[in-house]
Amino acid sequence: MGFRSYLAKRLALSILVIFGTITITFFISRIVPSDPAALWAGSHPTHEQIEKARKMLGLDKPLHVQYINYIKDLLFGDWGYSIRFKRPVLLIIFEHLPATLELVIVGFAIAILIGIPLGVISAVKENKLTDHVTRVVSVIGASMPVFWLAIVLQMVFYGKFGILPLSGRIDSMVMLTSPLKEITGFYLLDSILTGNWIAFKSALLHIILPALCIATYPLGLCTRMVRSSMIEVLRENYVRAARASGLPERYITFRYALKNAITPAMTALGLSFAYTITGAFLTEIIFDWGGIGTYAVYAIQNMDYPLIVGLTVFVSIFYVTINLILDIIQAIIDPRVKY
Amino acid sequence: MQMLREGESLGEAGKTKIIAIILVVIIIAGIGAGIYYYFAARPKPLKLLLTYHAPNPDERKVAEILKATWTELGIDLETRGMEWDAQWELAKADPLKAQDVFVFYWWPTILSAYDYLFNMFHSEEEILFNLCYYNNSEFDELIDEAFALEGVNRTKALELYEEAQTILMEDCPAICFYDQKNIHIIRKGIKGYIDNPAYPHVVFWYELQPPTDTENDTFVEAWDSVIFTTCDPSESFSNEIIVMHSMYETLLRYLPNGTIVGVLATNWTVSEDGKTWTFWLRKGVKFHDGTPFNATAVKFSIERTIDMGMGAAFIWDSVDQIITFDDNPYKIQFKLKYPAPLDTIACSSYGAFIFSPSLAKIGNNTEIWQWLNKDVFEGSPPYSYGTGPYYLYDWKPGEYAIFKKFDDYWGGWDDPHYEMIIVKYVAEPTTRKQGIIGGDYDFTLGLPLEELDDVNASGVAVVVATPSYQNLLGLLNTRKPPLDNKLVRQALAYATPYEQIINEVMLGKYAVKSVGPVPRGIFGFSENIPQYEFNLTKAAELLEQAGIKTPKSAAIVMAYIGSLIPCFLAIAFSPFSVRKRGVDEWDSEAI
Repeated sequence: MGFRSYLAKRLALSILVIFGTITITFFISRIVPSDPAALWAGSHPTHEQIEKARKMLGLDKPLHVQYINYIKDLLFGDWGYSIRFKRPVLLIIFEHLPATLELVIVGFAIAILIGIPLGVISAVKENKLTDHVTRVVSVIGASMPVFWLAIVLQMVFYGKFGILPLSGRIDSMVMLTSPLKEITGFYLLDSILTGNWIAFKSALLHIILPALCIATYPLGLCTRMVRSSMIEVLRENYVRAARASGLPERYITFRYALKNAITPAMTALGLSFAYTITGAFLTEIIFDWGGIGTYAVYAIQNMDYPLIVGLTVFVSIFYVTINLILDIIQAIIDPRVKY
Repeated sequence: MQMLREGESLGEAGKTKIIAIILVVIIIAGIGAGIYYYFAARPKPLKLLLTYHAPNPDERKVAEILKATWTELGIDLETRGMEWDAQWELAKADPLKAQDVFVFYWWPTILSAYDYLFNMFHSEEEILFNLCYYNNSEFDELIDEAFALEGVNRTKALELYEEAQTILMEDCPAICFYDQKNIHIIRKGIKGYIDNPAYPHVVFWYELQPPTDTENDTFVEAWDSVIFTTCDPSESFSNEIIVMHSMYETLLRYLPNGTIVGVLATNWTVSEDGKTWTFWLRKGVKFHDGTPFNATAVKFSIERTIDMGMGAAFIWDSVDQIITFDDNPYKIQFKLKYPAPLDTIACSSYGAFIFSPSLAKIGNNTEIWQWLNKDVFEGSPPYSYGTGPYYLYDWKPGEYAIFKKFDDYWGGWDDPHYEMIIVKYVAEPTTRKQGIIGGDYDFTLGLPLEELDDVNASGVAVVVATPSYQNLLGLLNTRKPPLDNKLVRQALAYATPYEQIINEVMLGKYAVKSVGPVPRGIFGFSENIPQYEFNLTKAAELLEQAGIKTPKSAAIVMAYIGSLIPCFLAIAFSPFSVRKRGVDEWDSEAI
């Protein structure tokens, strides 16, 4: 099987998965005993208001018609209106996705920048004190409850020392005095692009604590993955040959060994990245971040079913796409992958 | 088996056989009686279903206390926490299959006893909020008449409300647990904050005075849920109440002491039949967009709210016609279909806002709605169209809203006031707590009650607990047996440990026991109505009167032992025991 047909097969499977998710979420949302029309109409609705809302939301039609309409609307980019916010679901998602992405990207950057060196050191000093400490730290990192860590970080850095802000993406006073012009929705990037250094400083200070929370899990994961594959690679013959030929140790470790050891860690991190997009909601809630995680929680609490379904479908598409991209990249760079 | 012939004496074997037969009969009868007793005659626990709003910890705790207490009466109470709409859906479907007790909080839209009594107890053609399915035409007539009289003869109206509530308490379609207090946390040193329960959680920013020792002119509120669900004052019926009242004003306002004062109206009268209301409006008032305020604006606003029929539009149900006068642009008259207290209605927390008639230029009602709810506002602020002291300056949906003072406000800006208000949505209670203690926020709410003492102890912020118009009720299913019997409902009301509930759920200080379904401070509240106190003996008596036999705590054990006796007998006299005593022939002969 050639690369093209492999690609076609993976693509078809991905579409099938997304379609399945859409179908399941649609029917689950219709089985749940609640009346979206009553929700739409407000907190103390009258019967006419509910009937009006039912017509408007198309809920008076039979289920299969609703389903077909729903699929059609999804394809044409009409993901429905959020019941609570009364705004298009897709718009809410795209408005708040940059916030989440920014947080997760910064978190992962921290994880990779610290995780890889830690993993390497740990592998080089195998079974020495440094290694044990690093391993304990990485296990704690991978298993620490993030909501607890978030609150502790807030209490220490905001409550006790008062050096970092409590929550939010940017200081509201900064937003008033030197407002940030949104271009990409990534505050750090936007402030650099517009040369708004006051906003940049504020955004940077705001992102530190939540990004640390996001980073803990991938940090632990990255350290452990790099360590184990490094240990393996360091025992390879070519490393021994390099040592024998008198190359400096640092050169061998980072130039030769790490390059080969890093692939499995990157695959694992890639998947956990897609997963963290939604998994970040605890951090988002505590730090009042306003990304899609916050909205997911709010939608569930308020039975805002178009938003719940919309977010589910979006996240599944995101997850499947990242998965697909990772598979393709791996197939390209690693010829051993079977088509 | 052989028959005994006459004259034939019974042999040893025959005697044994008869004894065996008698024993078998006794055993079978015993087992039968035991089974009958166990499944039919034994008093069974009375199974009842209570539903409550699952995310609400207060309601959950109340449900647990009731469950524990009612066990002593032999009631097996199933407490089911549900999402609000699922809870509501179950209640609306079929009363005979619905819950027995529906626990929920009520808060009024119209500040009158009628709001409570009508919504929860007036007979309904289709079930909406009368979730006790109460149907009493005498009661209906009394409250309808009282509401009609509210505007013209308040003494008479009060008497009628009292009479209606007396009937209600006697019939007992609901357990009235407590009148809750509103709890807010505000920074120390800020003056002028009064919690007005008529407008739940609204801070009237204009009345606040910043602390004198700081230069700070910004007031920051951390709010526990999304600020705006809509920006349209005609549609608003949710959280945005906290900001709407500073952007938009109503004709009148209800004060915590029960009096009504003019805001956009300065004077008002009512005709003798209560069907014509005339308001004289304040002069020199401007909307945020510069349009002058007059009777045309009032007519436009209220007619639009009625036409749209969204949110709280129902408050204007009685309005037939709104008349403006060419000779006096500051006079407006409402002709009603039936007598109603339009002064109270004009004070409503929702649906009574007046907004600029310039909005009509945008288009029809729906187009205005779309304009107000735009994702990105067009042009420059103000983005609000009211007469209030603050206008909407910036809004990030789901995150924050910023308001600035409106320079042309009719009240003037001579006294110290805040220049700017920021309202933030901060979902996590610990973050709000940290923020108020750390100084990021000036006002917040929705912290767990246990944490409030910490906040007070910090010395930075104070906890303000004031009576609210929100009360917790347990609506009893008056249609489904056994609660269709008044005596059973009364028994449940007597079996409710009111003190314990207030002590455990509201820490003894954040609520007071309800007198009736109408909380203190609302017009129509009366203390002279029958009360229920916690009295389990009385409750047990009432249950017995109602002919309901439930196992009392000790009785449950007795019943259990009772049902076991036949089993003991059965074992004692079973064929196996007989054989042991050496009557082996019984077996061979009988077969």
